[in-house]
Amino acid sequence: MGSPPATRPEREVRDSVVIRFAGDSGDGMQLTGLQFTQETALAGSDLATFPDYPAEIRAPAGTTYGVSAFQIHFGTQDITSVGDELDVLVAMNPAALKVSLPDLRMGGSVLVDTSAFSDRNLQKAGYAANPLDDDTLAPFQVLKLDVTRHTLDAVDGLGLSQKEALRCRNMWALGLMLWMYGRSRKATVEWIGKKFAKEEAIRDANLRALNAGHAFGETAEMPSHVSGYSVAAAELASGMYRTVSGTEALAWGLLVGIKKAGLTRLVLGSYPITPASPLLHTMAGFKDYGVVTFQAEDEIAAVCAAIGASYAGALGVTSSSGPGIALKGEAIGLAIATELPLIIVNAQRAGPSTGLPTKTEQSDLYQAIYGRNADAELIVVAAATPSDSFEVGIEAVRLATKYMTPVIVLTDGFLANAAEPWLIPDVDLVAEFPVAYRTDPDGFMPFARDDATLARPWAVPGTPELEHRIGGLERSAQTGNISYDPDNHQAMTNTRAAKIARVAADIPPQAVSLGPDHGAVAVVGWGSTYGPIHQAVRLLRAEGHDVAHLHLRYLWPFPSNLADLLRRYDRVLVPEMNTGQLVNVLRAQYLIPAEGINQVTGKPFKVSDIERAVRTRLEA
Amino acid sequence: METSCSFLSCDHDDDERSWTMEDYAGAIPRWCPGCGDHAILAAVERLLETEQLPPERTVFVSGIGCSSRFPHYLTTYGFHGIHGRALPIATGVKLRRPDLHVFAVMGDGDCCSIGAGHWIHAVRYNVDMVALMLDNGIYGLTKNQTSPTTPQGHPSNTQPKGSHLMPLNPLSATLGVSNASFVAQTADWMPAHVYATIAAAFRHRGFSFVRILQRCPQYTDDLFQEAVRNPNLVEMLVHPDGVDAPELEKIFKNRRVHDPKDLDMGRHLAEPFDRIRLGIFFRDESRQRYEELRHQRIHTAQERIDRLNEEFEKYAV
Ligand code: SF4
Repeated sequence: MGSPPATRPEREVRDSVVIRFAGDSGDGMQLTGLQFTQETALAGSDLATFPDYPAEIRAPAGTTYGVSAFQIHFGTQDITSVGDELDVLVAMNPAALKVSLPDLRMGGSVLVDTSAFSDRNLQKAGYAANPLDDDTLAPFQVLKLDVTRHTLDAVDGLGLSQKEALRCRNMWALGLMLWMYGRSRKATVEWIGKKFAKEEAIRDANLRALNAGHAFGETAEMPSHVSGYSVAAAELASGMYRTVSGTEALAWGLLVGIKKAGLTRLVLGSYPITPASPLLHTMAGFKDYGVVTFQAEDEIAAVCAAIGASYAGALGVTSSSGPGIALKGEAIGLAIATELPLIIVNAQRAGPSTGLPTKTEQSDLYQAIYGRNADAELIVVAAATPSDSFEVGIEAVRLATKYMTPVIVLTDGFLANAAEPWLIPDVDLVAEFPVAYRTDPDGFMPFARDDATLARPWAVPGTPELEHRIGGLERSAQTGNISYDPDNHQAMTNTRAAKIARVAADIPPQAVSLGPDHGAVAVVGWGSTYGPIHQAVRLLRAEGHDVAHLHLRYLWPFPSNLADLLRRYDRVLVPEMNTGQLVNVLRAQYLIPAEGINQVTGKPFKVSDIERAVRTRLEA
Repeated sequence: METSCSFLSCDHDDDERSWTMEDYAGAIPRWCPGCGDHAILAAVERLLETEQLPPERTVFVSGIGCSSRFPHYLTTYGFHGIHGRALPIATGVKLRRPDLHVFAVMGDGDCCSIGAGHWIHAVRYNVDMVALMLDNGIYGLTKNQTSPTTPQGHPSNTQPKGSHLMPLNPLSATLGVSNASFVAQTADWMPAHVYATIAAAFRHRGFSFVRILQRCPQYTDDLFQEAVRNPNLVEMLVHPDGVDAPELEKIFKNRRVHDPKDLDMGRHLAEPFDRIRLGIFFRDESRQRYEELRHQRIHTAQERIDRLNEEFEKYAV
């Protein structure tokens, strides 16, 4: 029996690491990933995460389509994407290995639970032979550990059923990974204590498994070639941080928005749909801050209640994903016709129809800009990163109330769930944009307009002497009374369009995110592709290519300088997770030969996808 | 909710103003001559006058159809919405301003067909408002198509040989929804009864559903003709807690005592019968209202700051 090596190798220093926890839907991989994220954030790393889970709550155990995964990219540098390739894969069963192995880099590490590689599981995953026994894993550093056995040993004596005991496997794996990256277990220990406060045995089992996994690394039971790693804290601006998902940041942004507008109420009407539901979950906790949530009977009721609330002086908000937005289309037209503020959040998912509900895509841009009957323009904005969602939320409130119009906020499945560290902003520094309800009856007409914005007055029920009627029938230009007059319809249609067009002069000019403001190639993106595009352009520039990155927040109307800016580049390339929507809108608006780079796999772009596509175009 | 004064209470305090029926009359109605909607509008104006509802605190929300022009013919606040969606829009108004008097006016196509889902759930939410369903048994504005309440066999442009299906019974449907709190029926040709019924609906705290049988001389002239001519074809549901219209006692001899608290009997009486039954089928003030269920104490600024700090503590690094 050999004694453990007296001197373990030093921790290897790494700038950044990409880890994926993958297992069955029932293996608790999302919780494991979130806890690892929490500890990593507390250690001061910059990070980006990507939860990827099946549409079914509990798909048949052991199958490839039941694999649930959580990926985290963390490091000392500015982390803008979730990482193209995995450095480390934790595979709790053969199916997870099968699904994720193609993403593991050559020489990367893979941790497998040997007990899970039973004949039955191998068969369910579609392996003809056990990959632990052949050369499938030869290009990688393999850590074959009997996680099941170690977990059962750790929780022995607590009187748990076999099933309950096995559910602690994820904590054992988490403990080991926390050791491997020198992370604390403090937040996880607290979290376990809280989550299982009422079930002592389960709590103790999870704690024991966590600690056992950690001790396994610490006490050098590990194969000698495996060392720990050290990833230093990122150099982030000082201040108070929290990890934030796109959904949370957007919710906070909307809340700060109504405060800055001086409104006392936000009414969110919503109906459950993946991946938009978390916004309703989050805002349901904001009751103390003037938020009223209404889980409506359907998508249409949700938007109509928001419209009714806006009419009565609240900021009406409704949230959904593409299919639900389609159902709301007629009512959005009503808000355009009645010229009421309304915010519509679309957490886009892969489609059409039910499509891939848990997978990401950005294919609802046409729907947002054009997807209603008649000439029905509104404002469209998109968030680029989880923290950007905060600013976009505020901006949406500003524009909706200032221009008395619906605003569509586009996020997507990736953005909604992805998390990153967020420097909690000083909200006192956010400019106010007070909204004034009309109260003066002198000369009041419901459709008289502000000279600058062309917005009509917001006169809310309860205000004496401003009683008036609004509705979807065409309204007379000033009085708002029903009008079938042909010239009036022409004038009102023109005015509605002109009002939205004026927004272009009230938003910041388009800036260049990276690179020069003229030159050979502009790579133009929008939404959650920010990270991979930015990284790809950075790498190409490092190689000496004349490439710039532009990222659009305002998609309708476009910033007033956009046409000139784009014309200063020889080529405009537009990567999108759709078959080419922004690229066509740009072509239609500006008659420029923009070219698309398109992918609809339900997964975010990899940096290398974009890098390769741009390089190919450059060399063609 | 910042404003939570009960109905009726806050309107009259210190208010020196007063309003006549004419003060509530808006644009000149464009309904066909002889249309039942005219009488219903008059009854509503009478209610507004009697209750002296300040026009600025009163909101009429409607869907689409002949009856949904209602808001334009009044001088209160009005929202002429989209087909089938009067109830969710009205609910939104109440979510922001529970203190306002909200009326939703719908037709049978509006309420029982395209907006049927909202109808069922509005009954269940039991938000305090008056829902008037003006039922002429046909789509009028779109010119004579069969509606869910068209009697079987009645011809229309869409079903020229007569409606194929048994009509939907809006009273039974409403009474079948859990948490229903007020269900009544009246008929446009008895203005006194219409007034008394909507007055009872207005005073009810909760979602008051009133089906108003409405004559459409244009497309369903025969629907209520016999009942209009022959009062014996009508049966009045009467009770000290029911609709009170003494002037009708002499004309309508068929009177049946029905306690609106009796849900089982109300459901039984709502079933098809050879007479038209008018009155309150069911009323229960104790049913939970949405605004009560959702009303929770708002925390003070200090409590909020403490909670916020607690929250931030968790994430601080
Ligand atoms: S069509 Fe019928 S319901 Fe419509 S206005 Fe004419 S009579 Fe009234």
